[in-house]
Amino acid sequence: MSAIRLKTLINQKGYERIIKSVRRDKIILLGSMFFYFLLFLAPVILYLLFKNNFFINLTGSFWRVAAIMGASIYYFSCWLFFFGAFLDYYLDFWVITNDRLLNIEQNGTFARIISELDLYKIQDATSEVKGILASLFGYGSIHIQTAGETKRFELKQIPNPHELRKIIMDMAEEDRKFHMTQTK
Amino acid sequence: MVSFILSILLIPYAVILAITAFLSFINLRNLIRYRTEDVISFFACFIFLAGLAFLGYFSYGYLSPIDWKEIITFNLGQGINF
Repeated sequence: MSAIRLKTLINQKGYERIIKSVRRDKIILLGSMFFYFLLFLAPVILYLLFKNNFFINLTGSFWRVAAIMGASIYYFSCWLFFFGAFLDYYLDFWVITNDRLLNIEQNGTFARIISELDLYKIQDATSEVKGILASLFGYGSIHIQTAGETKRFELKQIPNPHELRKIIMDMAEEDRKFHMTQTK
Repeated sequence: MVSFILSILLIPYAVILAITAFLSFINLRNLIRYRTEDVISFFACFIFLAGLAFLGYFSYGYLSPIDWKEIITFNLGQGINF
């Protein structure tokens, strides 16, 4: 990721260093692309399967126009949703700095959530790789528990979750030490 | 018996296209505003707009030769007469 863009996006503080920024695993994007590829192919396959059937006989101008408009709307919608799925992947990411953990999430077209967590508040973190695809491609989740909060911070479908959990816990330990020296 | 001019079908089509255009604009704005890598976001914008242009070109190609002044008659209980 471009460091300059990232600094402005997260309002980087003077003493803050960006340790790592992660997105969901690329296989998630590929899966979504494959789904939309099937959606693009579906009308063609249906047409080839049923072209000799009675209901596809589009000789009348009304049905022909309706079919062309329907296909046009279908492909425009597929393209739009495909782009939305790409944005959902591309605009979601987590940034780990030496001070905090930021969760930047795009939920659909009209919702963007940015939450952050001070590293020294982290109590424990659990990483998990669960399921056939996750085990095959090595992606998983990290659940982070903080002091005094019931809701867990979650990094979903990220590559190499075990290594990242270790980095987060090391950074949290460093930040705790830093805060203890500051309070003394 | 109900009769209508074929061009009336263009109204819902135009409404749906306007919604698509609005959502496309919002998505592009989100991408430009929240992008992190310039190259990827540029290519994503370019491919998305090229896809829209491609779909628009083919839609226009198929819809333009149609005689939009044709009257469609709908007989209740008997279906549509062409």
